[in-house]
Formats: sequence, structure tokens, C-alpha cells
Amino acid sequence: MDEPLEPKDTVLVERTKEGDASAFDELVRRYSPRVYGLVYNMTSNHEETNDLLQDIFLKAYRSIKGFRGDSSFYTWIHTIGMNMTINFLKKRNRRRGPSLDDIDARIENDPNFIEATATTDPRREANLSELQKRLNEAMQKLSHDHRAVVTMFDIQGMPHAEIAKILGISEGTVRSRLFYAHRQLQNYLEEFRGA
Amino acid sequence: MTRRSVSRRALRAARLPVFAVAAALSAVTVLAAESDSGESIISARVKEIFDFNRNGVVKIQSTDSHGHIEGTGFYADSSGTIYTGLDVIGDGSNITVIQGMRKLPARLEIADPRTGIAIIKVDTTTPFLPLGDSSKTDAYTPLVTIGYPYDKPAVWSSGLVAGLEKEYLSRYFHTTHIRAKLPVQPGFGGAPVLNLRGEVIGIVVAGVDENNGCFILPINAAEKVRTDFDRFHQLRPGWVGISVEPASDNSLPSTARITELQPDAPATRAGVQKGDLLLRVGDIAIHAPEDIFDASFFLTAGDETTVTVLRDGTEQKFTVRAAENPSSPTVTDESDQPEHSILTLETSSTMPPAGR
Amino acid sequence: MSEDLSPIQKLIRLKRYEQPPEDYFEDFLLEFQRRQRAEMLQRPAWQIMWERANLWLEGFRVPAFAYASILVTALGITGFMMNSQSGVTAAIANNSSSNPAAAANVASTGPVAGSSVAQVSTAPHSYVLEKRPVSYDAPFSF
Repeated sequence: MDEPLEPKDTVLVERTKEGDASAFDELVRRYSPRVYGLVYNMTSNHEETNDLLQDIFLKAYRSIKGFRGDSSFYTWIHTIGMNMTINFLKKRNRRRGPSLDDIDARIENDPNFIEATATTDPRREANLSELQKRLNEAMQKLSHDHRAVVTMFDIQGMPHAEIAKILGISEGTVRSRLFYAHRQLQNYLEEFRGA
Repeated sequence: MTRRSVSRRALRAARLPVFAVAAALSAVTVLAAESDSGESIISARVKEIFDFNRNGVVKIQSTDSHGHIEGTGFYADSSGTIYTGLDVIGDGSNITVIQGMRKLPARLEIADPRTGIAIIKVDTTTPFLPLGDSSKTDAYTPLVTIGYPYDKPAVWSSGLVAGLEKEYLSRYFHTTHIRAKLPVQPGFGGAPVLNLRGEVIGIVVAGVDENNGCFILPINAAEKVRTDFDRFHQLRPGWVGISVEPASDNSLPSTARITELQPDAPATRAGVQKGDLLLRVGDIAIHAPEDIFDASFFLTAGDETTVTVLRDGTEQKFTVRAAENPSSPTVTDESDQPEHSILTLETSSTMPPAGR
Repeated sequence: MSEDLSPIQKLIRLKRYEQPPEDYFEDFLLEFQRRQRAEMLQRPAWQIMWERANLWLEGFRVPAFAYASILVTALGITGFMMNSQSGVTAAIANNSSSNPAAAANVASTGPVAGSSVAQVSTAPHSYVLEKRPVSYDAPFSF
């Protein structure tokens, strides 16, 4: 089967620098879902995520000339995304409750969900929204730094090295922050722990 | 001598000053007849300098991770060499020179964090501003600067030298700066400052007193940066290994007492000793310890210089070949190391990391 | 990624299902494009003129939607120039008097194929003038 000839990120970046906005549109298509996940898991709020995401890509578009390609576009856009999100969170004084709207039905088939929601105690019915609410609360309880590593490693599945680059810290610091964050989450989510 | 010849000689001698006075009087009369006398001469001169040199003053645009940057620069020769401010060139990767309707890409040749200037180059033939000798600039020297404020076209500003400063708010400069009562605006970073002869004697580096005044890097200091680049493609500051402290006796010609000499340093090996009073290093006269900053700035590693000291009441001269300072990193030519930026706090193209 | 995640990690991983609906991202792109253009058109008229004229001279393609703004700003600048008095604005007039002609040429050739956008500056501008020269706490050594 022929692979579709999709231009590489580096080509799209070069075209954008030369003035081809459609090249940047393609980069937006490629990366908005991932960066959405990054921002959403930091803010736990869809409206805020939407606004931030617009700002992130606008900022990236404006700064594209300064992007010299010594890191990948992936790293670059994630770095901008993380920075803008953390700055936003710092300014946001009050804690907003997480919005519970956006659930994908596929979660119900995920073995981890089935395992997590199956309980040996029939009196305790852990349903979807309850679990999600708890998870979001737990995430919000973490500091921005800790939430960032959990978002990137556990939720987005990014390797330690990539996370280190984006946050500007060592891999060792990534690992220790993860360890600490998991402990904190564990304490908070004790009643939902699997068998 | 007879009385007659004395009086004739006296008459002849008196003729010159009489003529001078007559000439001055008629000049004043002519000037007065022209309306505002000295004023119109100064106005005319400022206008002339602006009209004549504006083509050699350019707008510089660049970017860094925070956004767009704009400032001023000027051509120093006919081959496209431009002086501008260090902060005008952003991260150095994307510099545009705007000259009238033309937009030219420029490359960074060298950036000097000590002086706050940078030298960039465009590949075309260019008009240029004549460079003067900033050592002849002192208080009350009239100045004209041409720069690009905000996003506006080039404008001139004029004023006078207020003084020569070695420090500001208790911190020393790497070399003496000119401080002027010369109003400037944002965007004037990198602007040329000219005397009324139309020669560049400095570069605007900072605005003070709510931009009613400014600090100017003397052009001689800028030319040291350019000369180092031309010779070595990098800055080549020289080091001799001397430390001084203020001597208590103010009656001496200098209060810079040499209190330490680094082991095996150029000055040490040349014969300079602890206790010597430092009088002169090359062209720089030393009167007080803070004069050593200029001495240091104009030294070039590898070049010989003459160090003059006062020892036991007699002047002694030593030929010292300056070396590279063993404890400081070398600042190198940017065009050799395009990925390395000494200018910005962030050294990569990514944003400053959060969560540190 | 290694599968021996702790129970807590498995739980947290479920959050990756919290995605917006499918068509969200297409709408997102449309909104992004709208904001992109809004930013570009907010810049002062003469600056847009100047950039457009420069880019035209350099042979860049200009997007269709920008032609209306070019024509409007060209007429605007012509009016502005006719009213200007001072020497400085005369300088602008001298520099940009060719712009209306340039813009008119561009506008009359019709929309260009493709949607390439002229590289315009939309970011905040920093106009350099330092607040203090470089200085340091220095020992008296050299």
C-alpha cells in the first residue's frame, strides 16, 4: 500500500516562513488535538482550553520566523502550549470546577475503566462521571509543575526526554516529580484504587 | 634698537590683532544681518547633517521568542557593514534592514555584550556615515542623532554632551560612555550620534531621565570591536594581570596603586611590580583605579602595549604583550557558530521553560 | 510505553478519553483563520500599505482578501498625503507616493491561486532603547 505523501513538519514550517499560510493550517490540523489534550488536562475546562489553544497557535504563527528548527516543531508547539497554559493558570485566581461534558464513549470499553469501575463491593457503584470528577479534582490538587508531568507522561504518553526538553528540566527531575505526583494522586484517589 | 624701529615693529605687531578684531566685528555684523546669528547656523547645520546622512541610517527589524523587535542602525562603510544595538538583533537569526523602500536580509557578524552593540552585514554597496574620533568629544560638544522612533520614519534629535561617565548607579561600564542631554525615543537603540562636523562620535545605547538624555557608546570603543572582528573574527580583549587599589595620597599624579600581580602574567613577566603607581597603559592615562576599565577595554590579546608606572619617584616604562584572560570565556564570531547565541537568556528556539 | 503502570497511572491514563467531539477541530481551524486575519487587518493602514508594497516588490503573492484592504488604504494614504503639511510627512509621501500605483497594479490582477499569506508582523513590537547601559560590579583588575 502506498503511503500518502504527507509533507514533513520541517517542510511545512519552511513554507509558513515563506508566507504560505495553508502550510501552517496543516500544522494546526496535525497538532491541535495533541495540544488540546495537553491544555485540557491542565485546566480541566473546555472553554478555557479552547481560548488558550487559539492563543497558542496564534502565538506560534507570529513567532514562526524565530523558530530555528534546532528542536522539532512538536517540541516547540508543546513548549509554547505548556508555557502559556501555566501562565494562564497562575493568573487565574479562583479554582474553577472541571467541566464534565466531554466524554468519549470509547472509555467504557477501556479495560482499565472496566477494572476501575468494577468493584468487589456491590454497594459502591462507581459510575463514569463520579470517577472523572474525582480524577479531575485530584489533578487540580497537584501543583502546576506536577500536573504538567502527569499530563505529559501519563495522559499524553510522552517520553521522559521529551518532557524534560519542553519543561527545561532534567530527566531526573521529571522522574522525581512523577513519583511525587503519583503518590499525591494515590492518596487522594484511595477509594478508587483497583484490586 | 631705535625708538622709531621699536614703534614700527610695535605697529606691525599690532596690525594682526587689529585685523582680527575688525574681521570679527564684520563677521558679527554679517551674522546679525542674517537674522538669528549663531542660532541659524546651528539650525542649518543640524538640517544639513540630517539630510546628508539619513540615507545611511537604517531601520533594523528582528525577532526573538517574545515577538518582533525594531531599532536603528547605520552603515559604517560602503560594503554594508552596519552598527546597531545588541538588543536590536533579537536572537540573531532573522535580521532585516530597511532602507527606504528596500528590505535587505542581514547576517550577524559579531555581538558584544560588554558594550551593548552588534555589527551586522548586508551584501550590497551602501552609503555610509563618516566616523570621527570620540576622544575629542567632551562636555558641551553639540550632538545630532538620527533614529527610527517606534514605527515612524527617521527623525533627528539634538543636544549637548553632559559628560563622560565611567559608571551608572554604582556599577561600572566596560568603557567610558558619553552621557548627553540628547532626547531619544524607543527605537533609537543603535542610532548614530554625530558632531557638528558630521562625523559619528558614538552610538545610542540607553535612554535615561525619561529619555530626555541618553548614554552613548563612544565610536572609538565600537571601532575596537570592529577591528577585533576584522582581525580575528572574534573579540580579543587583552589581559595583563594587574590589580589596583586606591592610593590614599591625593597629591600623586595617579591614585591607582598596583597591589597585586598575577603569577606569570604579562605585566609580571615584563617587570611591573607591586607598589608601583600606574600612570599610563598605551594611550590611556590613569589617574584613578576606575581608569583601568578603559585601559582594559582597549587592550588586545597578542598586541604589545607600554605600561608606565611611577616607582620610587621615577617613571618607568615596560613593554607588555597582553594575553587572553585565563579565566574568561572567549566571545566568538557569530557567523561561525549560528546555533550559539550569547545574546539572549534562552539559548534555544523554544520558549523559556516554565516551572523552574 | 511500559505497561507495568501502577493502578493510579492506569486511572489517570483514562483521562485521555476526555476529548472534544470530532468536528471540534475543524471548527477550531476556521476560528483560527478568522482570528489570524482579524489581527492582520488591525494594524495601522499605512503600515499595511508599506508591507504590502514591499512584498509586492519582492514578488510575494498577496491573498485575495487583502486586496480590498489595499485599495482602501491606498485611497486613504493618497488622501492623507494630500493633506499633509510637515516635512516629516512629506518624507512619508515621497517614500510611499509610488505605493498607490503599486497597490493598484496588484489589485487589478485579481485573486491569486492558492491562499498564501504575506508574512506580516502581528506580534507585539519592542522598540529598542535600553534603560541603562551594560554595567557590572567590577574589581579593579585588568
